[in-house]
Amino acid sequence: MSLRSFKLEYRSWIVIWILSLLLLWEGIAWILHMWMPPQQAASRLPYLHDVLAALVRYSGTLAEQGAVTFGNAAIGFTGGALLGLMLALLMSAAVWLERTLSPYVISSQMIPIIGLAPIVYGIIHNAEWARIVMAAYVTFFPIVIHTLKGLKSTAPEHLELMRSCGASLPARYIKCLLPSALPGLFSGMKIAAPLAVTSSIVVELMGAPDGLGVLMVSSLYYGSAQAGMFWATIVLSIGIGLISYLVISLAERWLTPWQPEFRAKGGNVV
Amino acid sequence: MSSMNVPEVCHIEVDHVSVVFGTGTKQVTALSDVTFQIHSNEFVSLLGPSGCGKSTLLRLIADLLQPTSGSVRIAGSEPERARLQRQFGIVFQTPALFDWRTVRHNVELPLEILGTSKKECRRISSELLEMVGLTRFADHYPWQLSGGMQQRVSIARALSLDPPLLLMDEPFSALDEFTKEKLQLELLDIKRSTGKTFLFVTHSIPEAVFLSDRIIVLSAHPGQVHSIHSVTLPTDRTNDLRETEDFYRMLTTIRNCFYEERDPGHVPALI
Repeated sequence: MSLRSFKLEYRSWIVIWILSLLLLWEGIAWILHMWMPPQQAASRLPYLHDVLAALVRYSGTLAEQGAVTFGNAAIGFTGGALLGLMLALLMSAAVWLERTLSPYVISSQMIPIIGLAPIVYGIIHNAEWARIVMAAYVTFFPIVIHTLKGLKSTAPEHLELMRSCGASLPARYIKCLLPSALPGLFSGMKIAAPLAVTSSIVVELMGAPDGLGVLMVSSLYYGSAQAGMFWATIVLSIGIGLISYLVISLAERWLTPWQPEFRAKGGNVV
Repeated sequence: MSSMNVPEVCHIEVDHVSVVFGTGTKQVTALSDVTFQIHSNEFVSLLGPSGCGKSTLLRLIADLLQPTSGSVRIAGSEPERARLQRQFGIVFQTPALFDWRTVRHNVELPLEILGTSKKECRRISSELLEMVGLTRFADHYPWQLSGGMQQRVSIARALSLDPPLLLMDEPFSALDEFTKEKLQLELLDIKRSTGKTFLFVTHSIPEAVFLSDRIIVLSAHPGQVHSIHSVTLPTDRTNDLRETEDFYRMLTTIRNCFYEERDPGHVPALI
C-alpha cells in the first residue's frame, strides 16, 4: 500500500513539475510582451501557445524532418556504440593495448564538433553519411570510457573463480566480464544518445538537404515571423533526445534487472 | 602407525615455499620457507593472525599466485595442471556469486564452463542444492538471500565439479555467530558424506579446533609455519563438543602458541 502511494506521489510530482515549467514559460513570455513590441518579444521568447500552435500546424513537416534527423542519429548511434564496445573490449584485453589506444580515443574528443562537421562533410560529400558519421563519432567516446570502467570493475573473486574453473577467454568474457560491464555500457549509452541527436542537428545546420537542423536555419531566416516554428523545432529536438534516453533506460531495466536500483523492494527472503 | 594400515596418500605437498612481493627496499617477505603436507580425506586448517600469509598460501595452492622459490604439488602435479584438471574447488571469503544468475545457475556455472549437458547440470545442481538445503530457493537471485544462504550456494558451486580437494579462504568470517556454527556443522556433514580433502583458512581458534583433523599454526612477518597440531577430538562432532573439557584443552594448546614468550633466537614472533 505504501508502495502504491509512493508511486502516485512520484507521478503527481512530475505533473506538478511540468505544469509549473509551462506556467513559468507562459508567464515570462507574457511579461516580455508587456514591455516590448510583439515581434521583438516573440524573437526572445514566444508565447507557449504560439509554439504549440506551430507544432500542430506544421506537425506533418516536423514529423518528416524529425524522422530524418532521428533516423540518421539512430544509425550513427548504433554504429558508434558497437565501435565503442569493440574498443573497450580490445582495451580491456591487454594493458599495452589500452596505453596505445587511449591517447587517440581521448584526443579525438578534443576536436570541437562544429569544427569537425565541415571537415567530415568535405571528405564524405554526402549529407546522409556525414550525419551518421558525426553521430557515431560523439557516441563512441562515452561508451568506451564507461564500458571499460565496467569491465575493469569486475570483482577480483569473480575472475579468480573463472580461472579456477579453467574458463577459456571467450567464456570469461561472455559469462563474467560482459555482464559485469553491462551497467557501464548502459550509462555510456544514456549519455551518448542525446549527444548523437544534437550532433546530427549540428551537421544539418551546416547545410544538409533535410532534417530538423535545416528547419531551424530556415525558420531563423524569416525572423520573428517564424519564431513559433523555430521554437517548435527546439521542443521537438528536446523530445527526440528525451525519448532516446528513455528507450535506453527501459532497455537497461529489461536487460540488467539485477542492478540494485531495479531490484524489487520489500526486503530479502530469509 | 602399524604396517597394517593403508599408507596415507599425500594430497598436497608444500615444499620450502617462499613468496616475496615487490623489489628493492619495498620488498616484503610474505612467506618464508614453508613446508607441510596434507593427506587425502584430511581436514586441515591454516590458522594465524592477519598478515601471516595464510591466504597467500591458499592462493599458491589454487594457482592464483606463483611462489618465489620452492614448489607446490597437488596429487603429484603442478597447481596449474591440477587447476586445469579441475582438481579443486574454491570458496572465497565473500560468496562471489553472479547477481545476474539464479542460485541454480550459479551452482551450474563450473559445469557449464566444462561443457556439461543441460540435463546433467540440472541433476547435479538439484542434488547439491538439496545437500545445502536450498532447493526452495533454486530460482531466486543471490541478492534475495541472506549472507549465510549465499555462502551455502558458494559451497555448492565449489562442489559442483566433484573435486577431490576443497580450498576455503575464511568462508565464514563475515557471518554472524549463529549462522557460522550452523554452517560449520553442515561442513562437517559434507566432509563425512563426500570424503574430500579440505584446506581451510581461518583466524578463529575455536573454528579451527572444531572443524580440523590438523591445524597448521602460522606466524607473521615473515609468514612461517610455527607448529602443526593434531586435533585429538572424536570425528563425529556435534555442538555439544564445544562445551567439553577436551575441546577447551585443545583451544588452550593452540592459544598458547600465540602467547608464548618471544625468543628471537628460536621461536618466530607471531604478531
